[in-house]
Amino acid sequence: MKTKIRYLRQEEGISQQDLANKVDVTRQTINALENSRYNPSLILAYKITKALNCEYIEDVFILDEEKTEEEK
Amino acid sequence: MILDIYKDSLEYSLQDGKTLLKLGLTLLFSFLIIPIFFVLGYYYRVLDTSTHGMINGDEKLPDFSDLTSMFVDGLKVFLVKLVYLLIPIIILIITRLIGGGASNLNSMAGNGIITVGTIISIILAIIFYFLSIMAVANMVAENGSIKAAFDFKGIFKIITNIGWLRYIGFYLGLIIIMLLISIVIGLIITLLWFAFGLVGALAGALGAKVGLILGLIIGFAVYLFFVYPYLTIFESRAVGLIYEPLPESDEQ
Repeated sequence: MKTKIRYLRQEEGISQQDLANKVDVTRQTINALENSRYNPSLILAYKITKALNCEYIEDVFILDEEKTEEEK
Repeated sequence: MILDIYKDSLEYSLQDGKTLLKLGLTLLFSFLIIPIFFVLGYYYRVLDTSTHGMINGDEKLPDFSDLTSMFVDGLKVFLVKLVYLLIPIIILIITRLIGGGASNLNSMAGNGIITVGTIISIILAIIFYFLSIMAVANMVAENGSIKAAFDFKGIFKIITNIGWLRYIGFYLGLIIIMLLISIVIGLIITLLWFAFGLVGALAGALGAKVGLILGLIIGFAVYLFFVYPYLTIFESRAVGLIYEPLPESDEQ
């Protein structure tokens, strides 16, 4: 799972801490998400999508296509 | 996120019974010293997978193969931990020597120096233990570079990035979970032990002895082949997941 959080957050001009406050998680969680170190719950993914003013979860989170192909 | 790390680590360690058995067998011979390095080597491998992995990810347990590199990796972990513990040990020895010398002149002063030295050594041992955990994780994340294990500035930055209180709280939580697992399984084994003894007793005094000995052997085997290897992998996985590489820039 990769994300566009860092890019979108910088576009919005907000810090990791600001985004963390918006979605009720720690700054470290946002950092872990930006570094592709955390596979979030659907609720958190949805909250982040809304906080970054995006419409769809797919606009923020990118599923690793290669892995899904392998799994198939 | 910390709860996710615990959950992930609890599940991750249960992936493969064969690996637990192999690790348990290695532990069985750890009185020969050398097998300990293989256990530490496997700890290193799990850390490697986890520092590059993902919380709630789908990483598999590393293979129990390529024993030479596993041994070398284990040796590295051992040396780093040893060096980190040497500092408080040296302070303890120095204060004992000074205190011992001073007590020849004034016993109160000598005892005072020894007490203060011991307290400082214990505090330093705890601090250095916490540092050594991240030092090993940093070494593993930096492709086994010993230099990275002693990059104090970098290690401090990594822990600051995690948050000192968060990091200490996380590790204390890890200890509590490991204790709980040990206690619960210990209780189950004790109950089984009594049950074996009771069943044996029905067959007479000799049966009771055989039952108790059998219960002891089973309990020992469960700890050796399941509990301890499981907790080793659990701790390593959790530490690897809490480890966060430094942010690419100061901008956060």
